Amino acid sequence: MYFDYLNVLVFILVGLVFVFANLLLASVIRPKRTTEEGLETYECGEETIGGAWVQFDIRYYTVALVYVVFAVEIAFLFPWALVLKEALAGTGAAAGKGIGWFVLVEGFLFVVILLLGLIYVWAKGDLDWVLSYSGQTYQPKFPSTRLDRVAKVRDIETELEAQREAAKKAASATPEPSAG
Amino acid sequence: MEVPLPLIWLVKIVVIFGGLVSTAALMSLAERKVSAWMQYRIGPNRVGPFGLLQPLADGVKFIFKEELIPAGANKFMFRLAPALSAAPAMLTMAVIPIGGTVVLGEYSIPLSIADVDIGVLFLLAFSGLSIYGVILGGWASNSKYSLLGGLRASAQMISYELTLILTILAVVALEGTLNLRTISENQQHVGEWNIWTQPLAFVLFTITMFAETNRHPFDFAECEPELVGGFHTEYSAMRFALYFLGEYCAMTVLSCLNATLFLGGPSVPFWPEAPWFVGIAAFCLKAGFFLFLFLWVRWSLPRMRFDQLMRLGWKVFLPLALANLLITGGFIAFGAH
Repeated sequence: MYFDYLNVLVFILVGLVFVFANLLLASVIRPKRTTEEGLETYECGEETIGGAWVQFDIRYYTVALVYVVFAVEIAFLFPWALVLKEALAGTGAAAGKGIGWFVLVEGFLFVVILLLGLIYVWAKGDLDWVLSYSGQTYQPKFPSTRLDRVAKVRDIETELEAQREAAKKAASATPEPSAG
Repeated sequence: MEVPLPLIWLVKIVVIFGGLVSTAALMSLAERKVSAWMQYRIGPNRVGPFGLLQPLADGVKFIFKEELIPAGANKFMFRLAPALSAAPAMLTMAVIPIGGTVVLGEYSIPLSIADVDIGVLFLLAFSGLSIYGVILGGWASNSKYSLLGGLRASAQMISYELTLILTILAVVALEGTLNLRTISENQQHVGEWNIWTQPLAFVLFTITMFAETNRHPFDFAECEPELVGGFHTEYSAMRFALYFLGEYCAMTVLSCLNATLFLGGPSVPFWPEAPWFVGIAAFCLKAGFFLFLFLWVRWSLPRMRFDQLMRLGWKVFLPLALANLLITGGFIAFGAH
């Protein structure tokens, strides 16, 4: 058993040596002719404007929180899945205990409760990418201190279209000054 | 002559590691070949017979290339990130059994590097580590494209990792073990392959492989029309090569895992007593099919949109995978009584 883990360790060492030996070899051999232009951040040929380390709205913040919940759930489900067969068959460590159905129902309840959580988050609209064409926009029932949600692309486009129509109508209403 | 046991194990480690790295290198050639066959997009493929030495030539070129590190970057993280991405992807191969047991004189040698009871957990833990390389590389570059690519990669990985693990859990519940060797030995006959009892899990796992390795049609982390190169926009030379090696290694390992979990690993259909080298050939064929699938899909399907990807992951795959686990539990209960 421990011999197997020793093999894993050796394998890890071989992998690390491979990676870092390649990096070392390349760093010894490769030329170093750095120019000022080469050190610039690439922005498709334009002059770089500012850095990238700015405050930035990562859209999937709630999604990441939901992920943590489910990752913990899965960590609990691993032992359950591992013993389920033995518990139901009444063999191994579960012999003669008669806990098969109890284990099954318990696991089901656990998964269903978290499934309800998923449905709640889903209905609340937190699984939606904010700027999406489809799906209902979530409207909070209580006034919140946060800024209003970003309008959907479709709404913005409808509004712009309406403005353009109005401008066109205004232009056609006023008689054009004749050249003659 | 007496051959010491540790030497045999060392040879095995080197052979399996070399096989993995050469598979990854040859995949870069296969990618060009398949793109040439399917879309008439011919890449560099002239070195050696059938272009087989092209990966080697590429490697030499990568070593001799000048490396550019942007002036604004976090130098330490920038240098470290590719290694962080490549190394864990390679190490996951340690627990995958590529064949049965070889009897060599007085020794019987199992054809996997480690035969550990926590095989599945080890693999998931290490494959989860490679995302750090991607997100750190994206952040450390201090470039907007890289940052967006890194963030996309992490959003995508966490969304699809749940499905990946839940489908594996269904197989684990069915087999009652986390040991990958036991799982593959339980599928000696073609009728015992888990693909028959877990068809939904097989389909979900196969699609999730693409998302987990950031491959087409889910390659938002490096999608060219939007993000130039995504998280590796600023990378060049050897460090760029390491990112690619890591990606191809992850593809190879997931293909091997898919073959082990669902297609019986080294089992040969209708020939359960096949000698060990036929078993290895069967395993390579099965894994090779999935590797070809990666390329086949890449040159056939258009790229999705990012909100479609998130919707697919959270609103379709996750409920399906959870339901699959519950149904599997029910079936085990009915099978036992």
